[in-house]
Amino acid sequence: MTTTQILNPPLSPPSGSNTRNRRWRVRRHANTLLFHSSSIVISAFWFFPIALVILTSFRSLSDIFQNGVGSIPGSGLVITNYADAWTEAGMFQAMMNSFIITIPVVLLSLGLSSFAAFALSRYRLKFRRTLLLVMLAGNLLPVQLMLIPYVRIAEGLGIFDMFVTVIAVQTALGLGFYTFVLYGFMRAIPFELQDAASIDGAGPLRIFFQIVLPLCRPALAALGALAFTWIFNDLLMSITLLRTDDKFPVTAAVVSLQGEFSAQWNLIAAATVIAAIPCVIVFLIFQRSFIGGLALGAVK
Amino acid sequence: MTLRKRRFTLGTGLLAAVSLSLTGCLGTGGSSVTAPVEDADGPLTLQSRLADGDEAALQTVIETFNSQGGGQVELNTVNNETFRAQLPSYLTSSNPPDVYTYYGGANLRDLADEGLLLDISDVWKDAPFSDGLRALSQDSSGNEVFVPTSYYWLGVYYKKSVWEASGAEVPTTWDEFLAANKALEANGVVPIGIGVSDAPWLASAWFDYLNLRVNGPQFHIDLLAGEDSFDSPEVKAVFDKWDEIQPYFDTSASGLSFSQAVTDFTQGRTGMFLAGSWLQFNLPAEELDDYDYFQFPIIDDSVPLGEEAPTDGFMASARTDQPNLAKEFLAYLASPEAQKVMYEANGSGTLIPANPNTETDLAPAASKGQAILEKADGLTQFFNRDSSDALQATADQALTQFLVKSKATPLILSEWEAEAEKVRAAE
Amino acid sequence: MTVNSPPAKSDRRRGIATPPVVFVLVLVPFLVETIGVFYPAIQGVLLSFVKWNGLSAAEPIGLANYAALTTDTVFIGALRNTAIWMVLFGGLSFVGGLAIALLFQAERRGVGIYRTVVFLPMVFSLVVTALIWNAVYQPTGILNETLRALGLESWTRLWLGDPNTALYAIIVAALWRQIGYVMVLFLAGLKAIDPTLMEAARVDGASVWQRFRYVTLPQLRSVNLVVISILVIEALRSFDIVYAMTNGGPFRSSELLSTYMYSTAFTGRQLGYSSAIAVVIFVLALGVIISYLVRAFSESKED
Repeated sequence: MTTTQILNPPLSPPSGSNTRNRRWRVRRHANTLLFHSSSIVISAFWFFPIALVILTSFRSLSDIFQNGVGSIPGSGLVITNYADAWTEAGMFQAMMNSFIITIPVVLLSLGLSSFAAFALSRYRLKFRRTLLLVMLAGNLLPVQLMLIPYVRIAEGLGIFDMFVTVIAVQTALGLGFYTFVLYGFMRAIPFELQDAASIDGAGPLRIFFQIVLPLCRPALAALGALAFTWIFNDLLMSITLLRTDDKFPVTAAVVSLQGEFSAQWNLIAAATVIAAIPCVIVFLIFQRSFIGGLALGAVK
Repeated sequence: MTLRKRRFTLGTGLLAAVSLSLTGCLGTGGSSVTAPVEDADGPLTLQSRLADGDEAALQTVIETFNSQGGGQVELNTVNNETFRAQLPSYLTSSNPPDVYTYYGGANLRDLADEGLLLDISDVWKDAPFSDGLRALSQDSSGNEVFVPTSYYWLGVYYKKSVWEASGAEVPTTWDEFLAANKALEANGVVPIGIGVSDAPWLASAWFDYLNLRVNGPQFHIDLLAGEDSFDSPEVKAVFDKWDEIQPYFDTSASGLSFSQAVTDFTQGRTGMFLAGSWLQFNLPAEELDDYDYFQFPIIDDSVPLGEEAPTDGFMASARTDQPNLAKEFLAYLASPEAQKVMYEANGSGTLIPANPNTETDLAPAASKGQAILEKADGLTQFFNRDSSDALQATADQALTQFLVKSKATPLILSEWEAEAEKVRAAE
Repeated sequence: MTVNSPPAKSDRRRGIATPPVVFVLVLVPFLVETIGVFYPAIQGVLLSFVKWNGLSAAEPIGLANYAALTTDTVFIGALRNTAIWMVLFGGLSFVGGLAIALLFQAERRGVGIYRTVVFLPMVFSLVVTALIWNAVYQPTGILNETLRALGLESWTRLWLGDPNTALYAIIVAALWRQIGYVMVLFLAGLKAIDPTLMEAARVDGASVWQRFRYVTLPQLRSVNLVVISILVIEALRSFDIVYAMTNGGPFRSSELLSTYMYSTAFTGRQLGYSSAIAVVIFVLALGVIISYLVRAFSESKED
């Protein structure tokens, strides 16, 4: 059983006699077995801490104090933590806030970045590589450098403690990187497609929306999922730019549950699981669109 | 922009009014500010770092205040660490939160000396607080800027069943303390529990108390204020005393987290835990009766008795646009009625109301704590509250090194002093 | 990344002017980034030239902060730890993410679940996951208990308390978190590889290693660029996980530039000094990436 067959299972059985087909089928089953067993081992290692988090969210507080955080639960498990987190700990409100912030940011930053990447990759603009590098350099800046300036600027403009500020800042912060990634993908698209369209009289925007953007779907899907996760799980920007607790997104709300000397870890774990669900759903949706690949074959 | 201008105008106007020096119209905005001491509209924002029971208590007392019709207060709760990090940003903001939860001591004074806190001396005029509390609530010029609402005690917590099984007896003197340690050790229990991998400040509790017992509260305060050095012979004496009990400390302390250390304590693997009353939050509710605490043993009878009594309360921003409502609210919080509400809504019995006239039945642990603190000759707050967070960081380093004996004590102390010098120079 | 057919576009492009809307398409995002990122960044850099505690007025002191950095032993230690972190965290994330992406690239039954499981750590709040890893590393935690059960008592350590192991213990937790992210990027990149190239190589009789080295890796070049950039950014940005587990301890053995920056800003209240450290981080990131980027760009066949 070579690694060949694990990584690249042949798409169709080789033609030939019956005996060869049978051997191939056996090989294929063994291949599948090996794939799944190695994948399960890897997944088990990865899932283990998450499983502990979920376990913690079903414990009672005195059980945690009695037996410790990472231990086997002693007394019975409870399911009240989720309801408590949703209502009393304000996770519902926090979830809404997270969506209010994340969705516009993802749409805006990916939208603007794809425009910029398109312009930079498909047209011979002067200084385009410098421009791209400068935009990427914006992401190399440690965000902590800009925290205080953000606060002062926001206060000066009178937009402190508002959602628009967080949305604006997060959008700006993502642009360089997303442009860079999309540039890489868009560059790979053969120019024949574009030339064909412009000979037909299509302007840049038509080319963008009808040719380039659809071809970038895997990249956009990947970036969309990553961007959603990144923004949804951001903590620093929201606690710096927001002050009122009913505007806090889930990350800040979960952190607010921690006291100075003690924390209701079961409640916090439940809140964390709730907070993770949107991102998991987003990821599941987008990872399915990795299927189908590119229409690069369309050139042929 | 008009709103901003109006708020800015109001802010400066009220600031001036607070220092009792201005009458008449100010500003160029389109507002009609005739009486300079008029509050702006809207609810009073209270920025709080409290969680769990304390937060519930705060919510209850706010509801009571709001229902009285004097004004509306809105609570904003943020994480404790977030609050600490963002506090300068809050206070220097052009539109700050009006009132804040905070604690008394050196940090408060530093903020007040920068002119960031509202002078509330008139709230204090008839307040029945002790002189010690008054001193804690003042800035360097003697003006009150803080209203204390509760304080708590520190004690050496122990599990009665474990001590009985080991034949250890609750000590009052140092020798009795050593004997108790020996008894615990003989029974296979690690005598002193502590976990410093994510909570190095726990070691400061030991340093504070040993310093208080060996050198007295005045030296401790002077040391933390920078008037004495960490490599002085007095401090060396503290560590010599500490050496007597250092073998009884949990050897895995440096790799132990706070929650794990508490678990070890509740499961009887360690024998005692020096902590504030907040430790009770982390104890299993069903077993609470099995736990008790004793006062840190006396080493030298001739040394004045110092105790730690961290005090929490509230303060207001100097730039608030509602100083009158803020003072009203703070006065209410200082009142016996409010403190009774807070104590009972908290329900944990781990805080002692600051107002001596509060009519409430204290839980047994709290009455015990109150009695101990009343007998003290001097009260301190805790290392970081008496100095600064920056100095606390130097203590964390030095004390962790001492616990694991990574270097000889004189070297640890001279390095600590060097670090402390840097901190003082930076301030 | 090379294209399939050699472009004769340089000939075609010569006479055609770029439509003006294209300039708008690139300038608007650039403007947004300038206002939202560069302008505040410059303000931040200006802060590095003052002494400020966040409460009183700032005092200009020129380059004194930077001079102080050169003699600051904690800073130098943090620099060293950050370098270790970048190499280990960055390198292992890259290799691990790529390996797992290769394993999970085929659309077969169940692969969606596996991919999601590896990605899960990224979506779970660090507050709790750090707590769990903290619990795992405790003296009586899962790691040590497993070692004891396997008879490897001598391998047990105070993982978070021993200056020799603390940093590496945290790196493991950080890798656990980061690899899913890298995997997603590589999955997208692998998807973009023309399958006909692979088929051609397979038909030509190339071994799996040869196919990987001569088809996959070159095709992944632009993705590699992206991944390396991300890893450098993330490595330098890594703060939460160290802060939650050891806060730079014990004895600064796990102190990174990012945690030191935080402690000087919010514990030491030296905001100017903290900004200077931030500028150093930026210069470092730039230095690490820029040579790679410039080389990668100039290697491309297109102008």
